[in-house]
Amino acid sequence: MRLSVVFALLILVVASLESALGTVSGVDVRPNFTVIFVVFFSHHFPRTRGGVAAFVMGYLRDLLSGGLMGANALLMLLLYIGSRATARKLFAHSWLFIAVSVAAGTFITDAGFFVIARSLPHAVAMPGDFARRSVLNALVTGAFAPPVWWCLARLKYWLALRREEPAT
Amino acid sequence: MDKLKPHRTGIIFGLLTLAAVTMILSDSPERRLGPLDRAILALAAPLQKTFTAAGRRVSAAVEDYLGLVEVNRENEALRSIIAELRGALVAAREARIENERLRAMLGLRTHEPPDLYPASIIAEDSTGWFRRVRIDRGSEQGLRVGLAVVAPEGVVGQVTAVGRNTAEVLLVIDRNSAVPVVLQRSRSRGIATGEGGGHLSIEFVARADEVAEGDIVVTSGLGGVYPKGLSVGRVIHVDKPDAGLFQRVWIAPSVDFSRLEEVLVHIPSPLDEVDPAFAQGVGAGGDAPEPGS
Repeated sequence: MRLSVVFALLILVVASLESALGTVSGVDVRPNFTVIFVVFFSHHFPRTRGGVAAFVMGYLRDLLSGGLMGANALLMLLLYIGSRATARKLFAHSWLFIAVSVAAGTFITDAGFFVIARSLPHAVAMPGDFARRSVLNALVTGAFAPPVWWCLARLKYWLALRREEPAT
Repeated sequence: MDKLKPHRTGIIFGLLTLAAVTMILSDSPERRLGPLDRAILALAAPLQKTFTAAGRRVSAAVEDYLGLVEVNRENEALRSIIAELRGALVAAREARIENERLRAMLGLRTHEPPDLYPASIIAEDSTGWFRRVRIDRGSEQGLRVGLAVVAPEGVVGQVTAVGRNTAEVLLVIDRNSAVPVVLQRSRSRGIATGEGGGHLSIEFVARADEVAEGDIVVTSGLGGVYPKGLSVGRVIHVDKPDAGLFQRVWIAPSVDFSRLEEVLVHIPSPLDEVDPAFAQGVGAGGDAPEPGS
């Protein structure tokens, strides 16, 4: 319960922070903290709760960003499922691998967002330099992943919370 | 129920996927926010304000320090601009007086000054794919979808979704934005669309129309969102093909969106939206009244 409340508040804070980042930095490339959180959840949260948290994070990103409603909610849920499925096979528990897997997750969700936006019945125009910015987003997010991951792991440890069910 | 228990996660994920797909398919440029959305936005607004304010203070401190080097040079440039603007101001005053006099002579109804409500930008699109911002005014302050948002320099965008105390604004530089415009000098009309990268472009300007770099572009007043005559930007490039019917015009916006912090929401008075005398005339099946009658 304590885990859910603390992380729910944290999710709202992070979603708000993300939407304020653009205003502050004035640049188009920015770290995607949502992806870092979702990949973290896939390793450290119980299966159902982690999936719901990933969906909520995506939904908040959609709502607070003013983008395409539902797209990030779907993509974060799919990222969570994919990350959880491959966690045991690929995850090597090194900071480099965390950075690489988060960067890959960022690029894949960006690509997914592009595909959804372009395939909708009503036209949603996307930037022409999408590929370049996606790669830069992935690199920046990958660079941020280890410290954010470390903070989340410390927070979880501090709350003396453990995984409630084994990853499947 | 026990049979479903092992599949609980799969069922929940399936329902969430269905909810997300429904949201995507029902998404539209003008969003209708539900009670849950409004509650979340109300909860997040103070956080967004705090983060944005804190970030701006840090950015301002860094910029102030770095900017000191440029201050003298900028001062000189500003002095010369002020001198130019003083001249322009005198000319504008003359033009206004002349305009008032001519209006009085023609008996035209003087437009009421528009109702402009100040608002602060508290957040931006966090995905970076869109050019939208969130402002700290919402339905409680009388905002609604479709209102024009401006700055002293010119047009900013239009309101696309409204919460209780916040609203989402689609900027004119977003690729999904379209602003009916007119080139001030040649009076050529067109639709300015955002290019995403900070500029706008006007397609379908007749090739025969005379357009030059530096021409001022203003809103045409068509479409009913933006009032007529607001500055949109300045022509920076004209792409005139050797053949074909149209030319493409590139515009630098009047507003510096990277530094935009406060905006003004234009809430038109009922008089601006529908002229009652005109409406009465149309409703009665008669002709619209003569101007000034």
